[in-house]
Amino acid sequence: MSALLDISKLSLAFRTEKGPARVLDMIDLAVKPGEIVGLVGESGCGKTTLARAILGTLPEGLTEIGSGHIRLDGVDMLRGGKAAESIRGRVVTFVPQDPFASFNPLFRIGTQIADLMRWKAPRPEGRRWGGHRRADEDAAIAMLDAVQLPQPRAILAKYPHELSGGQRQRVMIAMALLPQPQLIIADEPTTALDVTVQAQILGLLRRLAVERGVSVLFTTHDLGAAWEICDRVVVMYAGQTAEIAPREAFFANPRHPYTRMLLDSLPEPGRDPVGIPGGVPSPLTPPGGCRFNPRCPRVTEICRETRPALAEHEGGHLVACHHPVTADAEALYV
Amino acid sequence: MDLVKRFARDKAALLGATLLGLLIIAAIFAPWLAPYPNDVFDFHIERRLLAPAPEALMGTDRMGSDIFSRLLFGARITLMLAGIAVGSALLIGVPIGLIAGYYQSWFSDALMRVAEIFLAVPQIVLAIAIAQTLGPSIQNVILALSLTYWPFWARLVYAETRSMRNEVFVESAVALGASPWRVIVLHILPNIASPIIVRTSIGMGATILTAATLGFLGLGAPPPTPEWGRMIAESREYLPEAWWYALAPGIAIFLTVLGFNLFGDGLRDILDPRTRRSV
Amino acid sequence: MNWLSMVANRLIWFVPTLLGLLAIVFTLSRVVPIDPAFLAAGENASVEQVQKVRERFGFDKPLPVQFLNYVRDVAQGNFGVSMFTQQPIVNDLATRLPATLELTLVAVLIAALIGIPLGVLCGLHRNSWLDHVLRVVTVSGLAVASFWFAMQLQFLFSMKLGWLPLSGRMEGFPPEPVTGLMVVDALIAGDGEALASALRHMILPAVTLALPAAATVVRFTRNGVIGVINSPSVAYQTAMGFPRRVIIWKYVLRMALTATVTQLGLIFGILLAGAVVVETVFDWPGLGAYAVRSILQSDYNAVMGFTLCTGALFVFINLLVDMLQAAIDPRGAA
Ligand SMILES: Nc1ncnc2c1ncn2[C@@H]1O[C@H](COP(=O)(O)OP(=O)(O)O)[C@@H](O)[C@H]1O
Ligand code: SF4
Ligand SMILES: [Mg+2]
Repeated sequence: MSALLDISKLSLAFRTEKGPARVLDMIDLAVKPGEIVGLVGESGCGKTTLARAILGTLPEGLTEIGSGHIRLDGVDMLRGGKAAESIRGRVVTFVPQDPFASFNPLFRIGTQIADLMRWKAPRPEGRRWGGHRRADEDAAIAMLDAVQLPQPRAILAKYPHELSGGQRQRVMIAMALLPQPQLIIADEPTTALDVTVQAQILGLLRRLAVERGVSVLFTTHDLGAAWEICDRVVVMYAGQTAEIAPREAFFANPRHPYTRMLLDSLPEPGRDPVGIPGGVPSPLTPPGGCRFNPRCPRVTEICRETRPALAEHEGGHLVACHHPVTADAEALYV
Repeated sequence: MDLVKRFARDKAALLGATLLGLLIIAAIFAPWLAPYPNDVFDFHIERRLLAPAPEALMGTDRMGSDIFSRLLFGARITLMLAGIAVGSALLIGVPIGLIAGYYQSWFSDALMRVAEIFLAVPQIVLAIAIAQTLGPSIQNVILALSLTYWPFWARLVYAETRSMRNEVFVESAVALGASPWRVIVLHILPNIASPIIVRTSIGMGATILTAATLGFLGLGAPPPTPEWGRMIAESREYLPEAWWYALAPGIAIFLTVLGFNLFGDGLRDILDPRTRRSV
Repeated sequence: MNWLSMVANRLIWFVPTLLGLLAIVFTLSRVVPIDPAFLAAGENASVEQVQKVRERFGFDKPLPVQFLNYVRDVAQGNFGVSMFTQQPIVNDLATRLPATLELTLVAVLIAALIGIPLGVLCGLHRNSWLDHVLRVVTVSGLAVASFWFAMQLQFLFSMKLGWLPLSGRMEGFPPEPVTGLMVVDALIAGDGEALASALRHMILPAVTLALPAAATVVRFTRNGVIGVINSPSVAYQTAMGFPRRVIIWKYVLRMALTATVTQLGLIFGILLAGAVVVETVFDWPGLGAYAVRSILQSDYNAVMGFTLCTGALFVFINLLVDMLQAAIDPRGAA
């Protein structure tokens, strides 16, 4: 199956007062139709930047594309402009990190949904304008029902501040589904929510996406969340792709030293979590070669000089490392 | 220092600093810069109302005095007047705001109510009333301005202190047994200094405008004090012939206030990120 | 805070605030070094005449008693008699209030009609030449002494060019007073000549008064628009592919205007303070000019009447602004 979203060798920098911030470095990533991909990485590693690049909403004039391309349903999203605008909200939709700030506080939920549908809902040929209000409203209510919001009609009449965070994020998911997109980008959709509702929201997102055959690119800094809903996991470190693997293989058999250490740092019964010493480097002064090298226990000279290429191991398991961990080399570095 | 560099990159703020520098130079060196330093008091009726010319750069006034010379001495009055007035308003308002904000009791409510009363009418009205009651003199203008300006500071500092009161570092200082005095001076004041400094610059500009207005209405220092507002008031009778008469003092007021405002805006950008003007 | 308790809170503090104001001005009026009775009786009055005046006005009683008497009178709607116009102060205020209201309203209109569109334009085209030019203009508008600006306008448009009248409110006979607002009265009377005269007299003072207010409106609106454009809600709508024009002209504009409305109280304060000076320079027969004259003539009953009137107006305007804000912002007044 050919990829719906195809990102290859994407490098990108922001112009800042202190020089270029090289936030993304040779990123490779693909999402197939109907697939749920988790993009995992520590805060500041460039997840949101990558999401904005896919959506074509990077700050104009501040962004320098170094190399690579992003193709979404065949459209070059790095070009921006009208082509990207027509893709947004139709082929790809978005679930934001902060459902509190992402609604306009002065308009009713219903108004904001109606405007989305007015411009972005798929229309049968020849009936582009007018005559859709009732149908739109029915569709919106059905969708609010699908995201398990009680009394959907009453929700339409409410203002955002009258809803709880979880309710708002359900509305956001409904809005992401309403235009019947092929891909939903969910940027840390549960980070701002109570722990108790996080799992519900994730489950809901997965179920609805699978039912409708929509692909999801889901970013998170939480490996546990990725485990719960993803088909495939992509690990980023400081703007570089570290490892890409199907979920089972990823958790059973991590190959990249960073991934390995991340998994070890998870609290687990019978073991103390092992933290990773050091911090994420600034994109203003990234280390050469593999950006993980200052923190890596397996580092050698070549790591500082050449960026490791993403190489396929077995069964779609891709790793970018000069010295990947092998399945039986369990405690090599400890 | 990083702050200084950032300030220096802001052209508007630099212009403000330059204007203030010129004002201070004019005020300090007025006796040496002025072509006719004695014209603050001297008059020469035979030279009255002369248009600008090489020997009187900005013309002469109704008494034949050199307007440029008087303007330079006026810079002294303006700076001193606004400096003392804003300074005393700060000295009254800041402690009141700090204490009222720190101790939340009926007493602080009462203090703030008094401040609100002053703020319920435009400052200029109360200032005119006080200045008129006390009689025309520079001291009384200063008194009128300070008495009507402290409530602004009290309210500002009160609000800032109230929000600081719940900060973790303040609460922990209190929990560790630091005296209220110590908490206020060492923990709260340094953290609310930025907005105070920024507003002080802008407040200087506003106070200079108010003081000039009092002078214009005849409530400032008596003649022949070269106060800019009064000079403009004197010129009214001689319009439209003596067009230059009001021009120079008006522009002097404008540039001075502009200097303080731009300087304050620049300070805000580097000191007070919460209210940072978006560039 | 809900709506009713907000109004109630304002009203509860209304009376103490006004009493406090009265106490301040009353104290001032009695520390004045000149015996008010002398002033009232006139320059050539004999000692007995002065004594009579003193008794008539109650100046011989102890100060607290005088104050209480005064407050009692005020509560009954009796502000006393002006020593100079020899009119009840209530009448003086009533005849002058409409002139000030008319001038202030026109200035608010000018400030809003010019300031809001310009502020929106600057916010949308940040750092454009228009933005830079307007920044210079607004910063200057706030730095210029209004009495001086007024004189320069008079010099240019009245004395030199002769296009507009120098001062006053009307030439010839004013129209039949109905509302007290000359422009409206002239319209009601269908008197074209009076209307033209009223408008011509209005221009210079209204422009002088509007200048700092317009500068404030431009700054607030501009910064409001910029703040909203950079807000997460706009980022969300952009990511969802809402058309740019819908985002700007529907969502951003509404947010920015709401923010500007919260500043109306401040703007009204600027106008009222400005009116005191502007009315004096243009001989505009309003409250501001009346106040200055009363103060300069030590006519303290008039000063107290004016102060009370202004304080009441101020409280009232702020109440209106709060209610307006509560009405247009569903989150309610903060
Ligand atoms: N507009 C920008 N200008 C400069 N640096 C930016 C900008 N946006 C993001 N960055 C930097 O890019 C890096 C990645 O940020 P982000 O994509 O938000 O990471 P994440 O979403 O993974 O937490 C951070 O170091 C951040 O400071
Ligand atoms: S490439 Fe080298 S530094 Fe980077 S993760 Fe692999 S071993 Fe570590
Ligand atoms: Mg992020």
